[in-house]
Amino acid sequence: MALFGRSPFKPIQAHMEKSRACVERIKPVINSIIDDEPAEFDRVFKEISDLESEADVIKNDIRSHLPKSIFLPIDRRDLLEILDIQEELPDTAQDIAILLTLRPLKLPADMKEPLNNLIDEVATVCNQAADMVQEFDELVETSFGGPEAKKVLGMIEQINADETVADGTERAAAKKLFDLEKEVEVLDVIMWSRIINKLGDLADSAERMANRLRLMIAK
Amino acid sequence: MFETLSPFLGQSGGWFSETQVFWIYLIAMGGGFYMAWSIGANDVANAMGTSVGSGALTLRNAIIVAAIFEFAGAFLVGSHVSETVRKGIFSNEAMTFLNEDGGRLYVYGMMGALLAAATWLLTATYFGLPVSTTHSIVGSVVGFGMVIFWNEPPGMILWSEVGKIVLSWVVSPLLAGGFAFLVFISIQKLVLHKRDMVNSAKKMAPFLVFLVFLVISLVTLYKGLKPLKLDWTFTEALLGAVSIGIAAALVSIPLLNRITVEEDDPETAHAQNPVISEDLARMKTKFKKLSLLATGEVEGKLKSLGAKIEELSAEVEEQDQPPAGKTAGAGAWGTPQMRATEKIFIYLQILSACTVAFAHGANDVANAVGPLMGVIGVLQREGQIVSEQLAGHWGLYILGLGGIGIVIGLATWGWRVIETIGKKITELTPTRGFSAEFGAAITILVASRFGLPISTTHTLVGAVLGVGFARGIGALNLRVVRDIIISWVVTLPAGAVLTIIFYYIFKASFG
Repeated sequence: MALFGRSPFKPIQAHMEKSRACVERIKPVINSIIDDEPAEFDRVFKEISDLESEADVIKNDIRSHLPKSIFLPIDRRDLLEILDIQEELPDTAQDIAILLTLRPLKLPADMKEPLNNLIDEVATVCNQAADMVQEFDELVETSFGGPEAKKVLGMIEQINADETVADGTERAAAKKLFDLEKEVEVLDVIMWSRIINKLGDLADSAERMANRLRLMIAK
Repeated sequence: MFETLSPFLGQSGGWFSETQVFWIYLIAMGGGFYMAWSIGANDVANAMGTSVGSGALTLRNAIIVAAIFEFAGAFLVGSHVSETVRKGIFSNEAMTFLNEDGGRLYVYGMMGALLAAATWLLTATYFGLPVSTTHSIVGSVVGFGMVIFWNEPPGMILWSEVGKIVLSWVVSPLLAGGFAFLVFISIQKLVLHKRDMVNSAKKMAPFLVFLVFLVISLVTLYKGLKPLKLDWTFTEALLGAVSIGIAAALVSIPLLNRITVEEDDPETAHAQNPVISEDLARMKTKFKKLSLLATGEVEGKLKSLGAKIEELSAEVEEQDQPPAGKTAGAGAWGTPQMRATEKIFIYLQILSACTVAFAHGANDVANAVGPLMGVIGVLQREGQIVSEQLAGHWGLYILGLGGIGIVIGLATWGWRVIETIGKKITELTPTRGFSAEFGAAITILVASRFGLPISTTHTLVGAVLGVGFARGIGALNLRVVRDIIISWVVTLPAGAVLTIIFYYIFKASFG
């Protein structure tokens, strides 16, 4: 009798590690465009694509092992929801990489700093979300309560705070881009503005994951 | 075989001839022994699988411990349920009716019930259906009652008793689930949610040791030690049990203090996700099957791929094996604090596994020896009185025989099942395993005292679900609940119908 289903918590952590690796590669991939290094760009672009499809495989495996008859220590829908949001991280990272291939892009020197600031802050938020997901097995071990749960709630607070900071940086970067609209080609402005939006989306996704996890702990 | 039997075919009236008695003994003992063997082979894994899986016991030690406790449970507490199976569902009128022809029909019926249950178990095991020995034997005995009393006035079969037994099958998993839920919630509150988990666990553990010993010794001492001529009253038994519990708790304290928190060990760090070895094993069989189907070049390629996967699988298994002295299940996750806590519970889990083995022996031995006792009782008194106690120490001998049958089943086949189950249950860490086993063991022991034949497997499943509802387990497959209900619905009529067939065969052969 198959009393025990396959626990989704280890696989979801594996998926998050792929996602984290994708997000970490956004900085090199964008900078390879700015610094005009096509070989480096191709290499990192391929890494992102590979990681994204690996994450996809893990996600499908988790989903196919979570039929309705599986009973989890948390609401099954919450878990599937968190997985869906988590999937947005590698997806968005790949979207950004693809945007960079659509047309040759130039970035004014003054944009480099605000853009890199934004990338760093987004990466920080996503990293924290990944650290949070890595606590899943400890949360299961303590059945989502006690000091372990408090620790994770603290991490969630931190993610919320840092996402707000990243929001501000996103606005600043966008503002700077439009301040420079005279020096930049219109199409470049559109493309960079979309990229900045996507970067903001990454931090949003991380925050939404954190809020979902808060619900799981509060159950 | 039929040549030997033929002189007796068609004989009627009078008592059984010596040769017939020999055959009846042979069939009843054979059926009873097979049932006991099958209980030992399939069900003992329930008790010991988790302890082997968590690394608390080696396979060899688990089998020795299980053998001791199964036998003790069967021998000391097994008589209550056996009496129920033997005569519990028949009314006094029914017994008088059965005595009228010297208990002949009863002998055929009980032999039929034994063989029917054994046949059904064999068939179900062959098709991989999870069925309970308890349900098989109860269904069979009811079936035999139905065929004998078909033309008699109603009231021969105590349907209220049958209803009580069936109700106990619903209640026991629920009760075990409730107990396990409470035990695990207390462990959560008192240990897992404390900042200093290890010391909280060390404080709580002696109480749990006390409880385990209290329960097991109370059940044994209160009317349990009759075989040893110790018939204690409840107060005496309670006093004895409390003293044993306190003594055990005191002994446990210095042992617990030896456990220390170990920092992360890089040696255990590279153990693979259990999913990997599981899937590799599945792929191994898949490739084997495919290479059987394929021909030519494809076959060779499939075979070499299969060989590579087998190699990899062996490699992963080796990595997953903990180094000597380390534990696998608990070592794979959590912080050092959590691992030390689980380690404390590994020892408690050995105790709870023993209690389950004891309880299992107490309840399930009846499935094998209940009908056997009935048959032998009639033969001993040459068909005088069906419902009386067995003469002399025969009841004990038969219980002992059942216990030995269980142990043989365990030794010949059961270890294999324990090994497989132990590998599968990586999810059930010692804190969970202890809660589930303790909840199940209390339920089974209480049921045994009331003479209720329940399914230990289903009770344990209920207990595990109870821990799950306390948010204790990573992923539970609720489809088992459906499987359990199906096994009830199928087993009862199957046992009944098979018994009726065997009953007519015996009636025709023995006259």
